[in-house]
Amino acid sequence: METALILGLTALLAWPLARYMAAAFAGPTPPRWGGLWRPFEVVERLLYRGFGVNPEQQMSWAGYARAVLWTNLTAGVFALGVFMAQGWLPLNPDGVGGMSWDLALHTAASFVTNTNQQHYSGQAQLSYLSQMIGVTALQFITPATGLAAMVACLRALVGAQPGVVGNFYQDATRAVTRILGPLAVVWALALASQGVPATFEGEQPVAWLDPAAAPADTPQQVIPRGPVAPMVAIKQLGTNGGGWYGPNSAVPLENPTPLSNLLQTLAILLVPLACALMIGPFTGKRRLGWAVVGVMAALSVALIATIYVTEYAPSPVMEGLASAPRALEGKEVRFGEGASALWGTLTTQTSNGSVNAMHDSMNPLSGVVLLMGMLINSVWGGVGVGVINHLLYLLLTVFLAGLMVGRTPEIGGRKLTTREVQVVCAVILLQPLLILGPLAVALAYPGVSEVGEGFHAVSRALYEYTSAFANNGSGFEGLADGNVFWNVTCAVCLIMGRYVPMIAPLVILARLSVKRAAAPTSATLRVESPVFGLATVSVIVIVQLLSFLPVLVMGPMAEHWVSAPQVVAGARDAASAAGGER
Amino acid sequence: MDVLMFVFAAAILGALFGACGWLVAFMERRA
Repeated sequence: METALILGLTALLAWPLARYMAAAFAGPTPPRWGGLWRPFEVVERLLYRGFGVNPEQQMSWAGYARAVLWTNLTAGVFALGVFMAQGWLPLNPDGVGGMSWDLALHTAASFVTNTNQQHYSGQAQLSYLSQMIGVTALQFITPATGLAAMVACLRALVGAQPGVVGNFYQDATRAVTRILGPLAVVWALALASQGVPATFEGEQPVAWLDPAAAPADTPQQVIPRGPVAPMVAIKQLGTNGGGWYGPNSAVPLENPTPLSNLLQTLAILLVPLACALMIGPFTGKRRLGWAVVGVMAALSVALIATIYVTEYAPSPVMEGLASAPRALEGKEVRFGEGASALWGTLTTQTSNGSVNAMHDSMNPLSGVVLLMGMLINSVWGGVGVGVINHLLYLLLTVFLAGLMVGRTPEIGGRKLTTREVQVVCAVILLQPLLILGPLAVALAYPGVSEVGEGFHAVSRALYEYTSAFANNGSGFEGLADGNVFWNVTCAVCLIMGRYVPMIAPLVILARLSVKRAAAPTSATLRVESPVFGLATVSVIVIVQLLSFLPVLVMGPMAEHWVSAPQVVAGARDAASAAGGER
Repeated sequence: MDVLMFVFAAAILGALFGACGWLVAFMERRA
């Protein structure tokens, strides 16, 4: 009931937002809507002038990709400098020192890729300046980059202006000023009203309840504060996920009330869902838009239903006991299994990565659901990039379906040739290469990676790289990931997992847009049909299982099976028999 | 801040972005 309410409420808000977003990106002159855009245009003109860019200049895919990479690289290097120099920069009332080079590299790579994977604890290792201009600023820039790349891909899909895909600076600026900025203001005020801190004052000293029991080296305890509410708002709306506090939205300061939990759960899904819903209004291909939404919704519901089953079950070790306890270890009791499971699956489906419970503590099979959300990464996916990832699967399905029915695969009347399919396959193969490659190194050299032993260690390491490649950011927090090995290998996954899958579909669609479109015939493959939707779901699931089923079996599935009561009882009997013989 | 270490980390970041640009251009050329 609670789930239906949250999902229904999100859908109700996402539909008008999708219409608004489609109008906001329609350029160069969007529908006037009674002068709605005028205040935004004033701010945007100032920004264009300040950065010296011409928003009217149309870009090819190559120009657009260059603008994405240069802008993001500049922002990343800037953030890197701020993280390393924060010790002597202003707005540091708690005297936090600078980060080491490897931690700063990972943190910059993580925040510039919309991942927000954290190998540090925010409240203790970042100054207010780092939180604001290193972290929160990137939390606006990166979803804006994703939205811009998505609208460029959709323009190429329509092919109204062959060879050009829009202007990156105009798209990214509009994404911030018209969509993310206003939404973040509303959400920040709502969260602050619930008690999430929003202050520039330093830590709050608090007296011990029993001063006699206070540790000798800590005569007074402090509560870390700061401008938390604005950061939490954009962390959720922009599928960023990185919290102010280390344990993220499991901390009462970051998520104090049931209403704040509802607002944050809703914000996780809102913009990614609106991105999928805007395909129809933006491209004019309404049936295609609904087909994409249908595929995503089917996979999303399947993942939500599965995690409810796996997480409401007691831990497999406890199963079958007369009074099997609920799986509440690692969860906030005030949220319970339901709200934690829903948040967990939504945050991994949407590439958000914020948590309100510790994923490391969830049942092993729930871990499989969380990993599948990140591996698929297009249900609903990150802001903008979820739709881009889905387009990649759509192109692969068009190719495979074309092979099955014996026709040259085509989309929108434009033929897919070997050249485009090679790029699609290369990008899809990059995922197992960049997840399983470093995972194998981590497991082969446990002395270097400090990965630990056993099936759960495999799950933790797999989760870390999957999260990095999917630009999700959540983690199985038991992993000792604060060393050079994890910082550098994850940085590689973060950057390659962000920009290659973002730009390659733009290349393919831009190439297709310059081809002549053939008129549809009765034999044309209809990509908006339910049968094609079913084929897309099958392709997504099969590709992921072919790539990752073996490692899922070696990690979370094995953990589930060896924890099963009969296995535990068998091991116990064997141990007592061995003890008796001795 | 150790300036040398900053330059080193920035170079790695730049190399990773460069690798992405090169990889996409390579795929486009080969395709």
